[in-house]
Amino acid sequence: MKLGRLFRYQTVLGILSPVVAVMLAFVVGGIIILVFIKSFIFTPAALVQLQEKGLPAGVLESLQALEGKEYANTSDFKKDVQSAIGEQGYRSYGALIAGQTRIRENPLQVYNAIFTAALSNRDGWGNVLYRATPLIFTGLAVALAFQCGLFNIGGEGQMVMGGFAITWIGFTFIKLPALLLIPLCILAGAIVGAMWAAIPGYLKARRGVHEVVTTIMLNWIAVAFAQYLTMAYKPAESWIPQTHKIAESAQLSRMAEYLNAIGIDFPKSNLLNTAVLLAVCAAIFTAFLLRHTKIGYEIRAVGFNPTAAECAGISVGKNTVLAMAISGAVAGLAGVNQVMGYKHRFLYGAFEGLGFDGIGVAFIGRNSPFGVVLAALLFGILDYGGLAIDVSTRVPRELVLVLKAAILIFVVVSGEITKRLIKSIQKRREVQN
Amino acid sequence: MDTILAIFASSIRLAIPYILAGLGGTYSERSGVVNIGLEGMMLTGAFTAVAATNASGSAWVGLLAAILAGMLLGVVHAVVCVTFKADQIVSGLALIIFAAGITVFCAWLLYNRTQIQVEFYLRVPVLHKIPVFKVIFNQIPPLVFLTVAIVIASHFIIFKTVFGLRLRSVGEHPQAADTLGISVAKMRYTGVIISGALSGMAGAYLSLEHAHYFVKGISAGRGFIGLASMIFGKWTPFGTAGAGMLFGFGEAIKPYLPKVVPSQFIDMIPYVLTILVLASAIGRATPPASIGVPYIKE
Repeated sequence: MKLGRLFRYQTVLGILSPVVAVMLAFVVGGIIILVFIKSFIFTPAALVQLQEKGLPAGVLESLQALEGKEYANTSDFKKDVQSAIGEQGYRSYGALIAGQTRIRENPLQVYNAIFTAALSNRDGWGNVLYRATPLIFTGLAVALAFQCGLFNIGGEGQMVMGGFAITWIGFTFIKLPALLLIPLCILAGAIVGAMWAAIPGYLKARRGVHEVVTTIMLNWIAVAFAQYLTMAYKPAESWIPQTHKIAESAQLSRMAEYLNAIGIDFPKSNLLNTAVLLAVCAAIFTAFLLRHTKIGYEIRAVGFNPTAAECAGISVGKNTVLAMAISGAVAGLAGVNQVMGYKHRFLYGAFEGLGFDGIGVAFIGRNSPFGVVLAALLFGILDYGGLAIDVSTRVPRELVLVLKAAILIFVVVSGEITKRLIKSIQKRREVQN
Repeated sequence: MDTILAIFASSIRLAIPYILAGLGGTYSERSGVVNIGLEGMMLTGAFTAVAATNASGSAWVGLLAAILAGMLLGVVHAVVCVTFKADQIVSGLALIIFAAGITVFCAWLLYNRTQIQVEFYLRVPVLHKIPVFKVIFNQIPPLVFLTVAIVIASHFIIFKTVFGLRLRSVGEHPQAADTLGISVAKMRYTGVIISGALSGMAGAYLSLEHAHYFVKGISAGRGFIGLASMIFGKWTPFGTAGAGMLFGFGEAIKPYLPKVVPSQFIDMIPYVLTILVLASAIGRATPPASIGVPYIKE
């Protein structure tokens, strides 16, 4: 009975803390919007206000020329006002004029714009899912390695190498039918990703080199290598660095085709493709692997307590390499969405940053496969909805990056606080007993 | 001869950001805190330097602002990692994402574009007018001299002073240091904040001296090469400086190499060397013992 109550505490706190963290991050984002976003509009009302505040008639007259003008930032505003009323005038009345014409952006409206664009219609949902798909792969990769006590920040490199392998198979074996070529591409991505991730796994198992540093370094090696390969396989007529196009039989079909066929209205232009199904399968596979197989049990045992695992006859070295390899294989699949689903060729720009975002996704999802899917959806909403705020508000879309960073920091901090809270509850219970 | 001199000069110029960031990493990691956020601190420094320079009319104010901005991010990293004992890698990563966002965000707001020219250059106030020094200071950026001074000073600070001993002790064995009455949290805060200051300076060098402009993502992975320099230099200031020079040299000879060697392979050198040295294939690099582990008082 007592244990049952403790378990409830843990689940409730475990779910609550990321939610609170996300909310806090939105509050921080809101403060940034309120502090930084200032635009200046010379409305007739503002001019009247200025007159009432005691702005000299001469200065006011020269300001009349600016009526109706709008400035997105301080430097443009300053330049125009200075040219209208002179530097001397700006020095004495600039603050007063700025105070009356300044308009701030309402953070709630900005967030509303993000969520409306992302979730108000099927097109938005489709795009959110499309953007979440690669993040599910890279996030699962981090979560899987984490269960073995490994911090795989090499998702970026494994994804890029896997992505190139997918593309290479796709434009080399153009004669193969789709039924053979698509699985072959997917397999190639997984194998190359696994091989790339096995390097840090091996170095950790055999040489005791911490995987964080090696995976960081391998990321940049992979990026440079992929850029070299891209140039090597660039079609002669192309001016931008990208490879040949993959065979039509290697391209995945858009979800719209299937959805329209069963009578659901879905725009054909939507990028959502069948890779999203593979992502869901990968999440289920990871959950099953970790919870219900011998491999998963051994991986988790090593992650929980390597010494105990070694005593129980579980090889730490073998499982370290294995966990990294499986993790890399999942990360390598991100290219299925990026190359086979959309770009149909390899260019690094289509991948940039997805591996790093995956780390955030894994941590926000508490390193559980289901949590990763939810967190990937959150990032998908932010990524796609962020495009809309450029259009409908005065806030640059880079706000989304600030939000992501804030979410990440609050999630790790709140996770640590929750852990300590649970520990102290446990301790109190032990004392009571 | 001219070519050799040109390569030498340009390898110094390219090495400065690596050396400064690497030194920053050294202070932080010697105190036991992993800082992969160097890249983000650098980027923030690069933007702040340009914005403050253009607003104040003096590049030295810009440099100072960049250092302060780096320190501010250092404080955030320290609060998350030392006070809240949260994961140091995730915090560093968050700093990188934050920097990539906030610099472009502010660039749009302040200037309506993401490439901003520097309007004033770094000049040594009196000396650059004196004929003898003029030649030197017009040829070599003043930050180069500052970096050399910082490298030498860092060696003495880390290995020859009480402060350095304490910094290293909390990175090696925090329990022991704590028993001797050294505040682990205070030393780690200091280490991380110094690393922020040096990375901010590295960023200021990039935008003020190297490129003469700020552009979205100007740091372009240099913070990670700084990290590589630190590891290749075995967490020592002179080692870091040497490794930074080596990596700078690798980049400097790129244009002079025959076309058979693809430039991308030169780019890989720092990373490959770092992995090799960690795997003891060449030399042996041992990180501080308690690196990455938050100190929890029993």
